[in-house]
Amino acid sequence: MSNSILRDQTAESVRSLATRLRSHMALYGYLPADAPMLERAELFLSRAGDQILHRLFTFERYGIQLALRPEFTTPALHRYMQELGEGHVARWQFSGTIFEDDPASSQIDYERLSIGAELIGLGADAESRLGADAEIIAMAVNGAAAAGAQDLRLVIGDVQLTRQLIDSFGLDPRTQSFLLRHIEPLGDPALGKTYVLDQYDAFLIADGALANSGDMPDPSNSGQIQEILNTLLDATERGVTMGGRSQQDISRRLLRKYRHAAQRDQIVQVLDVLTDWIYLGGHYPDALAAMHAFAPLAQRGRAHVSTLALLIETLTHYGVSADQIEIQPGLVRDWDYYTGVVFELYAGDALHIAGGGRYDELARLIGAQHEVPAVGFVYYVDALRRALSGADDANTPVFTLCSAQIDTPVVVHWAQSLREHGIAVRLLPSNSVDAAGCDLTLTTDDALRYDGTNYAPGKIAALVEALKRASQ
Amino acid sequence: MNDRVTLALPSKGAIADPTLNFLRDCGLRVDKPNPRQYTGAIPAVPHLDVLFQRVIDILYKVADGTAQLGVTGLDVVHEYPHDDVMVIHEDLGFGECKLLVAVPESWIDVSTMADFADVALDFREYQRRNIRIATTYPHMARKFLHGLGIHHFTIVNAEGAIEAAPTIGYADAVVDLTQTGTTLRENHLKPISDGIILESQACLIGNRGALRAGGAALDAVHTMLEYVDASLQGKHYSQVTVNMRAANIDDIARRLAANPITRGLQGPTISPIYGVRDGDGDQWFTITLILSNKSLLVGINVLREHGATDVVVAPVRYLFLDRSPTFERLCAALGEHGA
Repeated sequence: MSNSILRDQTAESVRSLATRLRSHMALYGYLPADAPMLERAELFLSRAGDQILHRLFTFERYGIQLALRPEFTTPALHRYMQELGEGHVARWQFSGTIFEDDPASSQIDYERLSIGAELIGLGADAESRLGADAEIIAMAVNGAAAAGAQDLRLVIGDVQLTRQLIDSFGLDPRTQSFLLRHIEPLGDPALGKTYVLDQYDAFLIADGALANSGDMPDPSNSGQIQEILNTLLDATERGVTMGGRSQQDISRRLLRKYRHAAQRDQIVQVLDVLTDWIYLGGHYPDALAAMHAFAPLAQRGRAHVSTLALLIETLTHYGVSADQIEIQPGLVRDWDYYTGVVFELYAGDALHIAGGGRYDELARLIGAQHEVPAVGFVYYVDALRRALSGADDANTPVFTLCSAQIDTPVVVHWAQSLREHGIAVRLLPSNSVDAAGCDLTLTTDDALRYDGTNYAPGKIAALVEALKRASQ
Repeated sequence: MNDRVTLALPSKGAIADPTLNFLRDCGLRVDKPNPRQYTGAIPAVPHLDVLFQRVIDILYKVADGTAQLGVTGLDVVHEYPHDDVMVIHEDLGFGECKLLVAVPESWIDVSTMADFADVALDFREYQRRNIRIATTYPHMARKFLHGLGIHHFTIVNAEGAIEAAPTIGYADAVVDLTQTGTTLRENHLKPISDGIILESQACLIGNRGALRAGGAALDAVHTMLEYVDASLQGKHYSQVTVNMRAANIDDIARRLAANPITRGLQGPTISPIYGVRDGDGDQWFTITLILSNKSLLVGINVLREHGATDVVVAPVRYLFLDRSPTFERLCAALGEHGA
């Protein structure tokens, strides 16, 4: 079988899967929508997601920077803001090609199919936000199940909870961002607290200027430090080239480093708390109970855990079994993008087939005055296809009928009779280079030979039965 | 089949003259009939034409097969990677420079790439824009920064006078080549200690297809590599000639061979000096050795301890091994890919 035939079959299999997923989402009232293939790059750049920025394909045309769409979420929200706006509810499903560059990979595989949905504008109050979250998560799970995926495992977390926990320590925004960014390595047994502390030292403390600047000033006396640094800068003749930074920028950063150094002991304690928090994960309801009882979590956080319990209860009404659900407090996904519930869907032990979450703040990042409640998800089509394996290849099998001549009345009659019974047949001359793959061979007495048995022209029913059995 | 081979050499820039000097030192003198002409020849390599081009054009010419061989900078090869171009010799030993990240000296708070990453976040947070980096090496700069997890930056493509970009104000930092750092300092910039993206030098490149086809291109590169390898090997060694008194040749040979330093490449060459014999009956010999430059003085002192005198040291112009190691590697690389 040639590679091109393999590609065609893969494409057909993907199309078939896409149709099933789209039909499922349509049952929830999600209308098919599309987004421009080329957008102004700033739309994606302002999203500020570290994970996507360097993966954009960008072009410049007459001074305008354009980008091939790397995802559907941002264009969907942009369209909502342009065409609908506050108060309206949009339920959109997307299916199309997205483009991503991976500078670190040697594989040239820049485009892939993305299928997902966005629910935008529903969530003025806590109840409707919960309803929207449940609808999106259930639709993702049930859609995968309807497509044939088995052994589904739903992992749920809440970025807001982890944010609240970190916020309770009263750290500066840069340190908070650092901690959120390092939640994942903190939960990785191979990296853990030692790695994160090393990163803290390297990125937030270490500095040649600090080491050489003499006695440590009093961190609480900003004026004193500012004065020292300004004097230091003025004393040099280096101010000629500032490269877009002022002396105040530099002194502010050095001051921040002093503070980071001063709070290092506190960071050690915070990392202990966060490690405990991450390892509270497990199956519902035990994990939620443990999170509720987690002492460092403030009252506001506990209320949030209760909401998470309600969400899971709602999911069970949608048919998602509580046994399938796992809680991971450390699940933050794309931390600077998601603002609430986040989830990942797995088939079997490892296949990550879908993911999504709430991203209310994205609207502000792309120019809105207020937050817009929004939640969505995307299927990872390649992984989902692998999860479906045989079940996914519901394509009609094609049987090859070989004969010395393929235009004789007997051959054509056999082929048409089988087709009338729903059996797909392709004809091939016996001397074709592909004839080794013959399933059916015409015998000298006009019978068809299949799997060691000859079927006379009057035995079509028996042959059809044998072929259908083989197709199952 | 075309039996002429074209070697593209730099027409101007930092490695133009050093390339000609290097080839001359290797015994591959380039004849350029007219300074204004863009062609020349290397008499030591038959059927070879020389074409003078800019370093970047050398890469393109080799990539498209206009030239089958070329000398350019490793920095150029890494910035514009091309499947049809292979690096034949990446250690020619001249044109050394570093591609690195440099920031204004006034940034006294920045000495590592971790600092740079933090400052990039400051630009986003306080100035609502990305840090701007001027460079003529956008591909390598991007790859390096993303590899460090620094994603918020804007590359400002620029040609020439990159170092002035922060002073002029159209960039905040630069990624540029530097040999001594003088130009950076004159423009009030400083390199970041762990911001070295590439340690570059001149390299010999070839068109993969032309070399796989064998014939004139492979013959030409074989001849060149014989000279280049022998010349570069020779730079590491000196030829030492001493006079020494001994009872007989075996006595000297045994003493010198016992020490790895004075053993030379295979062993000493010992010749008797006729007509000179002292009162003890000892004879004088002349010993010729090839010693590594790294242990030259140590070796000479060992020889002295054995009674050597009249030490004459001469540079080794060529040291031909049993075959050219670089050509061997080239053949292996071509073979691995189905030559």
